[in-house]
Amino acid sequence: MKPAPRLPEHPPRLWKDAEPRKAYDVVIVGGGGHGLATAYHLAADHGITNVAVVEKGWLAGGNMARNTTIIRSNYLWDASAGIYEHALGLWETLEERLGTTVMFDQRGVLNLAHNLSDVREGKRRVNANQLNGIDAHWLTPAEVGKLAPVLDVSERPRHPVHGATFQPRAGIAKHDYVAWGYARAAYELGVDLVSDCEVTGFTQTGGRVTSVSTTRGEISAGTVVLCAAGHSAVLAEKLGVRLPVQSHPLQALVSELLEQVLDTVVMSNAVHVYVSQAHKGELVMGAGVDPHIGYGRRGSFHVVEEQMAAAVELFPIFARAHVLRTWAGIVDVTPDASPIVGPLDAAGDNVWINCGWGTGGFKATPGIGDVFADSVAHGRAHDLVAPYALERFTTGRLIDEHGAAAVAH
Amino acid sequence: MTGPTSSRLPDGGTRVDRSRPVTVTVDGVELAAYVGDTLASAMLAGGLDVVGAGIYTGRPRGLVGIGREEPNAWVQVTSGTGEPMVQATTQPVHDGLVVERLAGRGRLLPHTDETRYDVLHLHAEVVVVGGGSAGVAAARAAVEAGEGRVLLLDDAPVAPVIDGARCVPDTVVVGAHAHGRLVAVQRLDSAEGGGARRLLQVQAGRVVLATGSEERPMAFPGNDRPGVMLARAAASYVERYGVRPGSRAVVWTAHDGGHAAAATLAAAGVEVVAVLDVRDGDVVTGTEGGERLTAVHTTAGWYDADLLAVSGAVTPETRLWTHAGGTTRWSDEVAGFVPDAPPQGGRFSWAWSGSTAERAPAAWFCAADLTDEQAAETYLDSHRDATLADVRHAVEAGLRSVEHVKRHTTIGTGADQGRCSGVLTAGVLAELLGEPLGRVGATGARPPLVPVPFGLLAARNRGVLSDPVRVTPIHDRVAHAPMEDVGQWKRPYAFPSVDESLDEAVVRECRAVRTGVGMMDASTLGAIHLRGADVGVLLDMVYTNLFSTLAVGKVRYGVMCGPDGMVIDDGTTMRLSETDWLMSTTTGNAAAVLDTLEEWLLTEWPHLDVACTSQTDHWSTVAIAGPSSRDVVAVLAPDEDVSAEGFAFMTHREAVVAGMPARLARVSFSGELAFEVSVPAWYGAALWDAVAQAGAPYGITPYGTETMHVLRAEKAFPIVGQDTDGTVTPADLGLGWALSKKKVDYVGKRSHAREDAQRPDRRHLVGLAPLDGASRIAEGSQLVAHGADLSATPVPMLGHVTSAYAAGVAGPFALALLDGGRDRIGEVLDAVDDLVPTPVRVTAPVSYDPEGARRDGI
Amino acid sequence: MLRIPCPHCGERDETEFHYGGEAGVDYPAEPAALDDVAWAEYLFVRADPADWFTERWCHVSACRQWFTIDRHTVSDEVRA
Repeated sequence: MKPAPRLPEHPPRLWKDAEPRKAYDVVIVGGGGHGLATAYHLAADHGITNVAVVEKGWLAGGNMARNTTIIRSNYLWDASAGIYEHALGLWETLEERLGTTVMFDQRGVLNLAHNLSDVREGKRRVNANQLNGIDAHWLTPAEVGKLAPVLDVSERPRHPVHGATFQPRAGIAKHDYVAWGYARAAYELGVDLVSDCEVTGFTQTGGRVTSVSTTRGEISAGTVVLCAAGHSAVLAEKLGVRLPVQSHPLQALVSELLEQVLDTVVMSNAVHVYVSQAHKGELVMGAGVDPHIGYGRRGSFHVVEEQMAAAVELFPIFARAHVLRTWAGIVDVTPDASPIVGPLDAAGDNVWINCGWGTGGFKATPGIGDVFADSVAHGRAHDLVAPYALERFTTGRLIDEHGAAAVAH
Repeated sequence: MTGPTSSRLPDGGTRVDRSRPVTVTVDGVELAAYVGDTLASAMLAGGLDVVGAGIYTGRPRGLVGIGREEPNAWVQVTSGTGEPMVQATTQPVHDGLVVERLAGRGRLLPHTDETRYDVLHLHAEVVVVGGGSAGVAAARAAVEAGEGRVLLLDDAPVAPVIDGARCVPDTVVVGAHAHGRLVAVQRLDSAEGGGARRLLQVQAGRVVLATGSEERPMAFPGNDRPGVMLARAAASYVERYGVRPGSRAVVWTAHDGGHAAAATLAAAGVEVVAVLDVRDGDVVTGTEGGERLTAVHTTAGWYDADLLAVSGAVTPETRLWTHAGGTTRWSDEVAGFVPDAPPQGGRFSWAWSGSTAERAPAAWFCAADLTDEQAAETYLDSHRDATLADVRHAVEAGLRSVEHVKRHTTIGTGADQGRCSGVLTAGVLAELLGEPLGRVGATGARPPLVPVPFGLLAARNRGVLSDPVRVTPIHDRVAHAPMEDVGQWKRPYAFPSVDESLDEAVVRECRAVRTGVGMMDASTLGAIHLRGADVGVLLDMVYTNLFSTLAVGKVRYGVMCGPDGMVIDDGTTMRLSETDWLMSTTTGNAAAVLDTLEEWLLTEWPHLDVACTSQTDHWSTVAIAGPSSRDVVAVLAPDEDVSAEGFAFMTHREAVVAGMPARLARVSFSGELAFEVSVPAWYGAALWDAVAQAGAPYGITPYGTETMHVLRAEKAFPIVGQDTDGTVTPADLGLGWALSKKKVDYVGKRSHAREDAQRPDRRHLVGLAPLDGASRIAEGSQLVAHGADLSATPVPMLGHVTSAYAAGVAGPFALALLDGGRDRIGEVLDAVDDLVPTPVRVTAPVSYDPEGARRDGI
Repeated sequence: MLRIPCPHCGERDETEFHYGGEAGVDYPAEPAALDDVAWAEYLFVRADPADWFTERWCHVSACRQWFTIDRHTVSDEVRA
């Protein structure tokens, strides 16, 4: 009965919830990872500290608290590689930047190939990654087996492993530590963090949004920034804008604590399995997105059952692990599986939106916080943000990550 | 072996069968037990005070509870198939059970778990969860009301007997989901061992949750010492198992139920030295002891005792209620959370037989002025080794939400699902924040109710049953070849002889088709039969080119797009009669194309007279390709005129082939003279044999998917899904000729008019040839400027290689999608794979017989 | 597991069905007459309410008919 090592302690002081004031230079709607990171960078990099982050529930209690914490940048298209690699670079120095531990553990991510089509896609992506300066390479089944000995790489009739892409710098972090690190840093710079504060409407005058109505009163805003993930469509509707975004349940689960058997992250888009073993020892797994839209934070249990079947196929020794807890988040998915980031001109010329990250939101957090704040501060889209303008759906110039990463967790 | 010890009473125990002794082994110590014992009651009877250790502190921990609420007694089962993190209080004993105690963490065993788990589907108008008095009453009422099938699921080893209702014992409902769906785990033959379990999928018209009560402890310094138990649990060990949980007891309670527990313990011979009641102002302030409690400090003095039985409250178990979407509210009357608003849809109700009479206001930690040292040994969650001090730290850090505090302290995240710690922590937090508990709230419960093995949820969907394997009726004839997975199908990749590599086999097979004749099983291609007066109208919409003009007996190639203008499928369609058509689809897309056709028909164009039937499995098809194919077909179908004039390209006819009713078509996916013979599926193997026999004089050569790919690539026939990726238009593929200008509309036409679809620098399908004429080009290579510095990232990428083959007629070649590719033909680029550049020349996509001179034979 | 009321076959498990998204988004009568904005709206923009929602399902494993139901996207309550 050997004791286990404890997780690092949180800082003795995190943040204090603020009473909302009457007016701010910037009101950020949504106190998740992206909202907090944007607030932090506005304050830290651009001296904009008269900022409120309003959150309808508890801070970082949405997808930030529910995701499976995988961080990687091995995306196919240049625009995606740009933003995710920028984020990965910032992850590597985030602890120094925030002054708190985030437990970013660069244990590498494997994306498995189960048939010749997967192999082609994987090699194409690896080559694109390498030419974009992203560490990635192709591994044979034997090499995959060495990295993840509990993965069954033998020839078998269903879902055999024909190889994998591997990104060594990818990994996982501890989501609460990340969110609270941003919250604390933003708070120390003077940002007001307001929880239990739901936005109920907006006042639009003269082509601008002048104030935000909330359950905790009316708040005047110089600039309004929407970072509401799965609730973006509902908020945009209040601004009279319809977004090409749909909110779906996405389920995940953890096992009980187990001695370490897996020290890398394994993903398989084909069978909708992605798994890591977290620092405490629990297996953390994500499932496929439920097909129907939903805000109930409840997915269908058969999705979990199918995921277990696939997991046990790939990792026979997982058969005896137990599902301890399942849950669902609400992911906002766009038609091309890429986010929408930029000015929301149709709502007013002082409104910015950042949504549609689907399953990619957590890993992008430091990167999007940085360049989105830069965009808002300068009133123009940063180069890394520009490809993600809403207009692409009209011109047809999509950034289609479906083909390469239909389940881009 | 330790014999029957003093902890086992001479008689009594409603659940144990004293005529059936068994032996279990805990960390090498053999313990005597009876069938009906749990591992926990066996350990208690055997005098094992320490049942686990703190995950971080390593502090010895004893039994606290008797069921799912137990935080400390987790074991690794090492006998049988083995299992980590098994809760001793819910694990029945069986002979030969061997376990090791754990410190909150299990381990996965390397050998394979071959256990086959089954799923049982049950349907009932009324499902009652729980076999206690409330559950029995609810089930009886449903039977009497004639509501139909009544099913009662009980987690106890013996279920009640109710006339007219089916009562299933040993069954834990682990999830209550929307629309009356329950997921349950049934333990089978627990006395026989082996851990046999099965999953129950239960669909209910309505559900009565009669899930009973749970007991909650109170917090005080030193509360994690072995010997500190829940009072009702302590008494229940006497009643259920005839086991005495201690010899000298202090009982500390906040409600009348604790007094009843004290009476039960006393009747069993436990010396109850004090019964203390919070309502009288009596508070426990500390404990003494090492691996077992020796003394209890209270405001009423201190006592020598080896058992401290504590009860803070007995409240309704509401987890399944919240799984299903019901809400709870704090009730001062019950001193706990009780069901409030029911889940939407009216399928769930709850029943509880607990009374409020015995209850008192909630008691949390009873000395708010505990010192830091005392707080650090006041465990709120012993499973997570988390204390009152930890909660204080979280609050001092600024956290106020119970969700944040849970995450900060990890309280309630353990395998016991925080049953003893959840409400206690919320109460402590409310007290620290000075807020009413109803406002602080509790963290939500999420399925499953108890941990469930992955393998049990995977059930039968393992190995070959994890995903169907589809094979054609010809499969037996080709099964010796290495197979490629295409969708769910297994298709032969190539047919290497014993002394041949795969590459060599492909070269040989290609040469056979180009110079003689080859045969392949083409049965996996999707076949959709379309019947009706308006099929032509439908096809004119779903294909980009014109189909309604196709004459009976003719075949036409078509490209299918989504409304976004991107290619989703292609294939040939033959017109069988005025009203009958047969569409072929790519192998992987057959089901999706059928769905798409039906969606358009049923939701947009219901006025069209078209019916679609999947016929993929109805036909066995053999492709016969190569200059000698006509000779082979002439032998097979002696009644047919198969001359170039008599049987024109892109026509089909009914024929008798080798004595079988068949459809013969002249289509070619290789550029060579070729025929496709389709017969009813059951003739597949006979057809294969007949073709092989008729072709033998011509050296007919079976070929696989890779050869097919080489042959089609030389003709630049795209493979949807390989040369396309959802971002490719027909024009990008060089199929602009198939985009009808005449038709007012087809699906995708409007999107083809968008700015981005009109860009001249879109990625076009082109051919590539290695500059040295010999180097192999790798699939997935990215194309960059020739001589580009690959270390100067990012290196601009101009396109990528979609298909590449080692041995075309003129050596290695490839197809690629290249920015503005049609304007770059002749340019030299580098195809980069794993940072190794291969210089290539951009060529026209068609590298073989661009004039199409060979399709009628040579 | 949602239970979907098929008007032809009765209430069945959602695994028998194929989801079709928002109902009532008709294929435009004259796509060529739409500007790029309106066409993009047809292609990509669908309602996403946290409320009652009229959506399409197809009973692919049985009658293969398309139909619409009203479902509340928060509670999953269904009205045929």
